Amino acid sequence: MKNIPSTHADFVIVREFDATPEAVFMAWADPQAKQSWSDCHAENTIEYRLDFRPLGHETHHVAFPDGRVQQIEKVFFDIVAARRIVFAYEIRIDARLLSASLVTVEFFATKRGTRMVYTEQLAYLDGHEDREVRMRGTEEGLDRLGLALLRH
Amino acid sequence: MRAAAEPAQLDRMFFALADFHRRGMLDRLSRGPASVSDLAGPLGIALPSAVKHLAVLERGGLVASEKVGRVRTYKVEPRALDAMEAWVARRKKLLNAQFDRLEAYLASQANKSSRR
Repeated sequence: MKNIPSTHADFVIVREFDATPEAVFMAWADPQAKQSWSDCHAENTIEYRLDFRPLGHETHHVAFPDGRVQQIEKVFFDIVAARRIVFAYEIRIDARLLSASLVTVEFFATKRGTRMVYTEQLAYLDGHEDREVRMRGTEEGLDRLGLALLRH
Repeated sequence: MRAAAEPAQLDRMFFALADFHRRGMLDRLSRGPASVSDLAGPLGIALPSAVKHLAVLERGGLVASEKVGRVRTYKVEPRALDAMEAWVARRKKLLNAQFDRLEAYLASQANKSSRR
């Protein structure tokens, strides 16, 4: 097998909420609250666990109708109530490791409520030869343009 | 990561995409490189017209071309279709969708407590 080097990216998503940093933090910390907004409540989920504490894990397995299985495994490192959550996570599709990331989520009090800053540093590993991802490239590119348009 | 595209470049990109035939060409090119006649045929357009459309796509940074002998071959601009960028774009899209739901959840919690 060819040894294709990993590639790396980082990105930031900033969102403002009409809620206190405490309330936004709780939406990440409380398993029931988390399930109400994150992908882990979605159909096709076959396993979900959240152990929200330093070195605790969050596990999410999805079986797609087309037969692919996606496994997300997350480990929390730093948890400071109403202020910061640091975690790492990996995504596997059919047991192949596509990416591993370090994420810092920070909550800042603002006049409106909370500014949440989500920073992800990502290593892209075994997906480069993924023909399927490439085939979907045009669609993704169009999605990306749509997102770019929304932000301009 | 690459910086966001310049506004003028974005204009050219969106203009390039704002046409049924050009989107059809991109769709075909996403399956592999092709010549002008490969691209014109399925769309039922004349070759000169196809060449014009391809020039617009090329200026929009969506396709690249290369002339080998007498045949010019078009392909999707590799950077526009980079596997990692596609992956990152998908992750960001999913995260933003989740954060939209987080916003809705927080709003519903605020309503609950204000009614108490």
